[in-house]
Amino acid sequence: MSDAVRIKPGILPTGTTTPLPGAVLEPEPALPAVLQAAALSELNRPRRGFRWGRWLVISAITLVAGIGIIDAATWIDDLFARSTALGFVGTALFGAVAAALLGFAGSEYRNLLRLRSAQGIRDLGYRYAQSAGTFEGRGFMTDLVKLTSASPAGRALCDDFRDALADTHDDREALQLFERIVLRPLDEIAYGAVRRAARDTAVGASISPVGGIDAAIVLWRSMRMVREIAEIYGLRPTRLSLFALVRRMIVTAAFSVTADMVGDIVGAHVGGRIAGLVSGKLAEGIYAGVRTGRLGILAIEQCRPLPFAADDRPNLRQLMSQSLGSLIAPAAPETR
Amino acid sequence: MRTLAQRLGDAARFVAERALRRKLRVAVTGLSRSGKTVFLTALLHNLHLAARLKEGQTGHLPFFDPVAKGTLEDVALTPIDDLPAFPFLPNLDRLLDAAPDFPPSTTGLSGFAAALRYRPQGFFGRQLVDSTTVEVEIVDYPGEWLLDLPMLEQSYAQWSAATLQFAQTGARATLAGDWRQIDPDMPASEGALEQARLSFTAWLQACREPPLSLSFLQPGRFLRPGDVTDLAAFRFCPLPVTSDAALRPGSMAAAMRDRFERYKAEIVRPFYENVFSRFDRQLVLVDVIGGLNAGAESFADMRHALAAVLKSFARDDEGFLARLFRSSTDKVLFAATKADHVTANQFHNLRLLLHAMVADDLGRLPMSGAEADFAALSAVKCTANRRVLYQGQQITVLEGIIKNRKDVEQLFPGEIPEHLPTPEDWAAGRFRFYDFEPPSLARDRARGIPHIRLDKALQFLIGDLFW
Repeated sequence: MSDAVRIKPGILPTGTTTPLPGAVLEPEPALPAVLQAAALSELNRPRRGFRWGRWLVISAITLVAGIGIIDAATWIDDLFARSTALGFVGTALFGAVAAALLGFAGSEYRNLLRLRSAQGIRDLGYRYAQSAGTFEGRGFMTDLVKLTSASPAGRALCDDFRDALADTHDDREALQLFERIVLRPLDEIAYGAVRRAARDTAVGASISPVGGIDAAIVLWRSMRMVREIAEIYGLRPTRLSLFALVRRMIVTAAFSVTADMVGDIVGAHVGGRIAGLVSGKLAEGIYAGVRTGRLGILAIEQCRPLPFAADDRPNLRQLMSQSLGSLIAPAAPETR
Repeated sequence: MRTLAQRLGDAARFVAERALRRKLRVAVTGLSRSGKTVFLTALLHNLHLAARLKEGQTGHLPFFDPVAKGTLEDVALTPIDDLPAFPFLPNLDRLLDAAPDFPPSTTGLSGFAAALRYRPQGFFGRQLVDSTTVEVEIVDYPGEWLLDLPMLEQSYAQWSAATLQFAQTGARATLAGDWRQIDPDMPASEGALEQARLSFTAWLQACREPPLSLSFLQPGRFLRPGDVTDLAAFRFCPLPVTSDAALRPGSMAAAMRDRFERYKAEIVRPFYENVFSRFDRQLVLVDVIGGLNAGAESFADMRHALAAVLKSFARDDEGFLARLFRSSTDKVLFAATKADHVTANQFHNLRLLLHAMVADDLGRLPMSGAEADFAALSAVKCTANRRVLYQGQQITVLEGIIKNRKDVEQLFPGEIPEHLPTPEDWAAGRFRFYDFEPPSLARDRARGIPHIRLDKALQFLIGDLFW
């Protein structure tokens, strides 16, 4: 510290100092401009070259929509073949359900965008986590606490964190404490959200009669899961990683529709036994559930304000056995 | 009636509980005034409270895993064998008093075993038992006694030669003492021997007090005899003799040689058998800040005393204890105490300076082979860090009640050098660290004692024993 060269050690006369924020966690200061800048630059970063991602999304959407429409059309056609009235009712119901689900997914997406992107926070968090012996991150910690306090669970945990944090904990220790006291319990809550979403998707995909509805359920339920996860941590994925997540949702949805159709085709040509294996609705549902679970873990990794420690990463297999195991034995406890 | 299966199950659980139980002894090593007693008192109090926390709370020990994970269930204190009990409650009462004060310096041996009961979290532990215990034995003793350890390896002539040479250099040479005039060939009498003891003890005391504030003071028991009532074994002092064998029977030198051997056998050895004959982990507390305050010579003397003591703990053949008792330690934590005397941004330098102090001139650490770590800690945190603007500059200052004063004041304590201080550092008089009054905790006894990194020290020393 260069200032120490000139200021002589000793007792400072009363009233000669002006307090500054810094050594302790401030209650509620404004968001540091540097964070906003970091988040904005991430959002506005120009991209070059052919956008394969966008192409994939567009083609996947077309695929899902196409298959969904064909599937639905076949189903509705069947209904019409039985009776015209049945056909109209079926069409109306299908349209209503699909529109509602897609509407829900859309509103979840808009809610998600209202939250702050995690990127700037994660970058700074990573930097402070490396710096032992420095005390520059208190403003950042304050910001982190403010974001995380948005949810009731987060607020209680942040109170515990404030209690535990002392002015002598350096930046790295402060972040370690935040991780231990706040993030780990939040992780558990987020895992719960993933387990529920995986189960719902599996159940929904297993019982829905039409591929189009499957796809809409997958889309809506996973979008809602991502939004829940984002709210748990108080941060959303960056727009870029959100696109990546949505892409995965659409692919999952596409798979759930195609599995349905392929199953039907195989069933028609090969016969009952293999068809039972391939297109059994439960197997298809479980597959959609597992994919949703994987998506949930990715979303957690994207929303968490600090990266996971290497030995602390969530375990998909464990999560899924807890979630989908409850399909078979519903009495199994929800939490670990 | 219980079935056979139930009984077998109970038996298996009992065996598993025994198998998971861990017991170890932590040797707390520190020269006098290094803060051993207050360290143990604050640690025990915070552990007691941590076992009663609500779920999710980490109290004052968030970096001690069993507390952070909420698995610590209970802390029970029991005395060790035939040692007097560590005066935990009297010490705690002093700290938590309405007019708080630090515990008095330790005058004798005491010890306790702290049984930490916890719920195992590991896969196997969790399957086998509901809870199990880690038992930590710790012995407290006056720091002065440690310096007797190197004497166990010396003959009277060797010890005399080394001590006399030391007494004729530096600040020690300025202190007179009747013992310096004793003629080794003079016929011995109990009265003359007692005179020699008194004179030498007075000289040692003068060395210890300011302005000299020296640390390397042998024999340490002369300064704190403890519960020894028969001081016959203490009646010796260094004399100019060339070898133990050539001493004329009946002379002062021969009598003192015999007393020296008695002192080693009756006083020093039992202490080391009690405290250090077996230990698994070692905590070395060093009052680095006190050393800086006391000045160049005192600082160098403290370093010399530390080196002499720590050499005995080496794990190889050079290490006296390892040879004598097969004692060995796999983890050692060197800790600079009273870290609350400086601002938190100086902790890093404090650790580096401590490293430089305990390493030899080639940078080698004592007790090589054991996993070593360095820490800046404070058993009772008496100050708060504040960022302030002062004379147009942003600085971090300490806020607290300076010892023997009344009001909360702000203090700029200055910097800790990251290497051994240079002659210019000493000449500039830049080290003047104030002592502080302990914080008033009487109003909220249940909140625990604020500290600096006590939990990290504990985690390093025993955290790996919790499955």
